[in-house]
Amino acid sequence: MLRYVFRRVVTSLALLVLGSILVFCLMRVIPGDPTITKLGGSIREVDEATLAEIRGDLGLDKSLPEQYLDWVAGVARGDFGSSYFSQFSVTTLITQRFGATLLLAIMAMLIGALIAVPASIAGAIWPNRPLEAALSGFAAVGIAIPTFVIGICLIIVLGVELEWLPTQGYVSFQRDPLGSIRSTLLPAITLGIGVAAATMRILRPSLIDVGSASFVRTATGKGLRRRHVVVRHELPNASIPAITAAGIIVAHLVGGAVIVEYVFARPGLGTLLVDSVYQRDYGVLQTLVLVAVAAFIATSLVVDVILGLIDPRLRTKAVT
Amino acid sequence: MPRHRKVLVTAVALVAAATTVSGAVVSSARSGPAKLTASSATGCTSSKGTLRYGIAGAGIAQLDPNTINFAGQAPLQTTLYNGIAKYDRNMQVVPDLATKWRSSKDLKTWFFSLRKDVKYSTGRKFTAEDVRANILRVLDPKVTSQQRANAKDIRSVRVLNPYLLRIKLGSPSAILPNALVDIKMSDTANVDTLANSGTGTGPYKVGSFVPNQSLTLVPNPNHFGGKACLQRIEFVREPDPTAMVTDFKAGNLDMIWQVRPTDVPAVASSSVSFLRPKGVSGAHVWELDTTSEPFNDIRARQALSYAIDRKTMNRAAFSGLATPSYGNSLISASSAFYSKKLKPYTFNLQRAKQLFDAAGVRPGTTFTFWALAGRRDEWITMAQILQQDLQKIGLNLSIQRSDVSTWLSKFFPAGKKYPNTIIANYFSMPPNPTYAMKQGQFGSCECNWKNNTFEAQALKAPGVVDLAERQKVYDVMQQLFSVQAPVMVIAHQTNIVAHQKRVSGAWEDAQGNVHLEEAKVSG
Repeated sequence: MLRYVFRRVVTSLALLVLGSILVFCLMRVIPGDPTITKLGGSIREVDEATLAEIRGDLGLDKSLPEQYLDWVAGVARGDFGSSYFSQFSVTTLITQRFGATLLLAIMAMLIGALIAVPASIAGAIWPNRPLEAALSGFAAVGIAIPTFVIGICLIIVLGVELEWLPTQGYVSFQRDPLGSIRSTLLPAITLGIGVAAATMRILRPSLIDVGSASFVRTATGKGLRRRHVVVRHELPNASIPAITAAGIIVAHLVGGAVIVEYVFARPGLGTLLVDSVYQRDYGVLQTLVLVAVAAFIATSLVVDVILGLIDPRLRTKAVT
Repeated sequence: MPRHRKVLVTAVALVAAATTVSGAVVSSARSGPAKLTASSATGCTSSKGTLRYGIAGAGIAQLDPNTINFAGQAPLQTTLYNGIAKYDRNMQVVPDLATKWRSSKDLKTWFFSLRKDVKYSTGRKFTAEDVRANILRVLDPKVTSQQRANAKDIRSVRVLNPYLLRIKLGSPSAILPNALVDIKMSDTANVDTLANSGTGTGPYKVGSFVPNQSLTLVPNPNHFGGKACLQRIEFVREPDPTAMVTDFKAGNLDMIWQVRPTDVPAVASSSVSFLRPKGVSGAHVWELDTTSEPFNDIRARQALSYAIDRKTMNRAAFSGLATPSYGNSLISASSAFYSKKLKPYTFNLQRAKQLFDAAGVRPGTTFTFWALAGRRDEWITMAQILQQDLQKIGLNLSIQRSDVSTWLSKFFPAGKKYPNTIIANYFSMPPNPTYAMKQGQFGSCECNWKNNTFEAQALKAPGVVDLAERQKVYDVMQQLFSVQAPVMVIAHQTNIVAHQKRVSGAWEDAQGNVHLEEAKVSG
């Protein structure tokens, strides 16, 4: 098992490095640079020589490998650099916004699970009914509709028309826990619908498959109630594919959070990411992508290890 | 009223009017110590209420006043900071942290006396050394300061005593205090943290700041001019203009900046007012590369100007709220400085076709219209009108939008080649015509236009004291700019700012900058 975990960790680190190189190169081949964005077109009489000097101060005059190695050396020391614009350290910028994104992610996962699990169970208990069609429809629509469309619809209905929930802003959890949850509810529902749909797409077929297994027939033959059979016997077995897909769901969550935070003007990591792309704030962007890639890899790693623990065949297969 | 008194009053009024019109300060500055106006103080005895100020699309990235590059944060320039001079509500330049100023006869040396009761929000005393440090910082080419353009003729800044400063210029200027208005007296002792500390001498200081997201100002207890009027000012970033208008209409925001002209009817109501600036100096323009085909040919530029239906564009893109620039001048047609001698470019597609043909622009040619994505929708409306009109004479227009960094990289800084391309831009020009017309100068304008007569007149303008004489300089410059058409000036317009009627005391200057230093919120 240790050998299996070691191999997965090494592969993950390699992926992390590759991801960081990819983002580093991509940002530098697209037009624009932070110097020009900082000058904003509003500063007149700037010549190329001055620009070159400013770029030199920011270390942007070095070759790409040099710039990359400088950055990696900083990361290794725990120094992620500073924003070219606000001059805040990247660590401070991320710390300022981490809470908003974490709360959103937790609540979206909870909402997703609260919708997907009971709905899938209900579909398994009462198969071939209109409920089944409704759940299939929800899963398809939830995946197909872009997150921002769901967000805008919810803003109009729950925020503007019914005035039940605030449409924008964020209250710090430390300052006002209830207010914080309330301000996160609408974006979390928006994101949670996508999470629920993705989970249902995996969990429901899995429940149907498991439903025809011999141990289920045995349980049913013993006279257990259908609800009991589904929850106690089918669900734990059917959950394995859903756990496997957790990495993909986390990736969906990260991508969705970027859009949702922007739509709801939430001061989270997603908004920071979009701004850093617009401004070509390389240091901030590279670190954020690194964090996102690390989160995705860590989730996959944890999932793989859990699956390896559950099913010994998987770890044997992976090692050989 | 006795006759001699009446004559005196009339004379004083005339002098005042002349000073206002000229934008010059020499007469008032030479008339002895300038009185501190009431606006140096906030006029408030207590701080009450919260003002929520909405900005759509972009957020406030940093707080350094002398490297500002986002007009949305202009209110910070006068709430967190002061200059040694400032504009009053009539757009006259008056002392701010200075108490008086005077110039030598040759207008090349200026002396500024400073207030002695000024402290930074940290409690540190403000002196002439701070003025010197701020001016020198702005003049440093490595500091990305747009204020440098108007102050670059400063040759030396010397501190004569802690409250007296001497500035020497390379050439005469009657309007140096105008150039100093925008140089704010930030805390240069802590310049490394200025971008996020926002330490200044203004009535407010920074309460909390999350870059690009939110900023809260609270009263500065060390302010020299009395108490801040508000307990809090919150700058709120809205995702887009529609969300901003929705939030404003729901009463969640007290004031919103850069309302789209097409949103004005939706925003207007009995409980809403709009700020009305005195005069307008900003303009929506289209820049052309005058060194690349086809716009290196004056006829192609004039042809484009004739193909622009400014009247329709004003109606469709600006809801009729802008002032079209038929004469293609950097100075607004509503300004007293606008040259009456300019020949208008009346919309005429046949004339445009003739001129395009003469310039060798063949039918089927496609121009690129280069604009911003997610902002300035009015530019796209204008482009679509031009697209349809150009089609009628066999030319095509490809409209392209991109994020701000990509947009800028196409044409900035000046000197870049961009053939066949029309760049949509907004010139946020200072109210003084001398500085406004600098936008046309070589090295400043991304149009890459160089005209020796224009350059010579631009150098001459600051040193001309007599108003009539200076107007002649402006006339020559406008005439040249209009005929040569290196930039298409579509219309002059400031930022539209709406506020709930419970807000009072806020105002907008001719440049479109919002002033909240005396703003109050009732109820």
